[in-house]
Amino acid sequence: MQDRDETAEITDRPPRDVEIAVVGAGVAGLSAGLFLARQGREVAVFDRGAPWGDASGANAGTLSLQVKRVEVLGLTRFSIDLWERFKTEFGVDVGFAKIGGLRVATNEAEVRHLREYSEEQARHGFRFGWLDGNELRDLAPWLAPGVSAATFCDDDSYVNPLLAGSAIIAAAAKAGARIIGDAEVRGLRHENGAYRLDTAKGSVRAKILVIAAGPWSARIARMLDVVFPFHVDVNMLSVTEPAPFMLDRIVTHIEGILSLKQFANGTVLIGGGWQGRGVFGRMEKDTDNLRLKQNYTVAASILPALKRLRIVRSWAGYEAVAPDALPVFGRLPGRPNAYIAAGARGGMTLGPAQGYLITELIMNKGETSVPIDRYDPARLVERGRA
Amino acid sequence: MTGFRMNDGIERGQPFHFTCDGEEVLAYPGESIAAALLAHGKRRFRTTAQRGGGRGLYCGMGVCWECIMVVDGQPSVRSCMIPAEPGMRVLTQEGHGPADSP
Repeated sequence: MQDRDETAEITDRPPRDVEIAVVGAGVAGLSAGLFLARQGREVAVFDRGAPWGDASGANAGTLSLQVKRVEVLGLTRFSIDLWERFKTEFGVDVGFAKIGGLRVATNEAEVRHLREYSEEQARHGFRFGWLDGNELRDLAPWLAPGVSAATFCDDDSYVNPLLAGSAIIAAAAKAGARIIGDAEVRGLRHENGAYRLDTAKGSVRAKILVIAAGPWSARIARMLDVVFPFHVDVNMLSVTEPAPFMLDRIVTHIEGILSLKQFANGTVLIGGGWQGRGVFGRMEKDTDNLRLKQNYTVAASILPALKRLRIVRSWAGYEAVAPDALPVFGRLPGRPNAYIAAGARGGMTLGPAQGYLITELIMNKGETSVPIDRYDPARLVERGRA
Repeated sequence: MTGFRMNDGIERGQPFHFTCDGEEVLAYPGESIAAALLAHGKRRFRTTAQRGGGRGLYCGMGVCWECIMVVDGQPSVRSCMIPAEPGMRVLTQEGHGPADSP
């Protein structure tokens, strides 16, 4: 196979020196680039392929607060607010819609689980509405009779990942960030008080390093002998043909096996973390028809109107998850002036907050707007090479 | 706008007619609805649900769903994937189709 770089046209040579190098032009990295550039910092964002080309463009765009564990509720609310402000503050349309969401349960065990989950959230100051019986039918007449209870969250929102990509790229570039695609980082070392990145488009020296490379983050960190035990999921999504509007809320499931939303153009997005085929290390991913069928069966059991619709496309995207499923977010252990924002279950939701708070860390403003100690990457570092 | 068919060196079966928005359209066996409509000069196959924008044949191979029309009462039929048949009644699809209309 021909090496891609021999044929790729070099359209944007990276600077030889830059104050801050961000590795990964997805939602977290571009948000960091945007907020840092707006603070007047010199920043370049590198991507191994096309900016926004992997997980940030392949996810569902669901921004749900009520599905989150108590450890990330505050961070999630902060990030959803940032998503909402993209339009008002940066003038870019990310397709944000705050339509509220229902998290459903369909049998006794699930109802019990849902109640326990929401009671724990309430103990941490996040109270979501409880709906059953006629109240639930009135709010969501489209739900199947088998849905017996749901929690309701006004803040549950979504963005359109396709719109959001070009919008955030444009906002970051306008703010002064340099965004350099097809610049895979192949070598990385710390020498003479700076980081040396050997990219597919040349060598770059940076005082400050931010790793925001999604599933590739562990690989980048390992170049600095920092080893993280990420697991990489291959999540599947499907979208239906456009249909008359019926679904006016985001729907999720207490057991995490379903997410549904209908976009303004009438298409319904069906997800729920069903696993496709693929091995991250070998750069393979594909959909799995049997599991897609199970995904659709669950979806139609919650929203029967789906049975009339045809699936137009299915696809799969990577998601790196830490063993405790909490973000890996903060200073890179043992390395000066280096930061990492990765491993967040639901990285699309948390990306803007990660970019914003990394900016605060770098600006050395002391306390961050949201406490991030519990996401300290040091908790996961395995000593020595795995 | 007009359409055309290539004729040199091409043998076709017996032509027939179907209708699109009530208008007679000529087709040959094996042609898709979309192909016959293109040859007839039609470009706008549907309008979008949100803004009423015009859409027509785009990918031509069943992937993009831009060319969906109402065929014999059935909305959202990909006109590029269905062979034209004598007497078919095809309609420009407005939005999501008949169920969507007042």
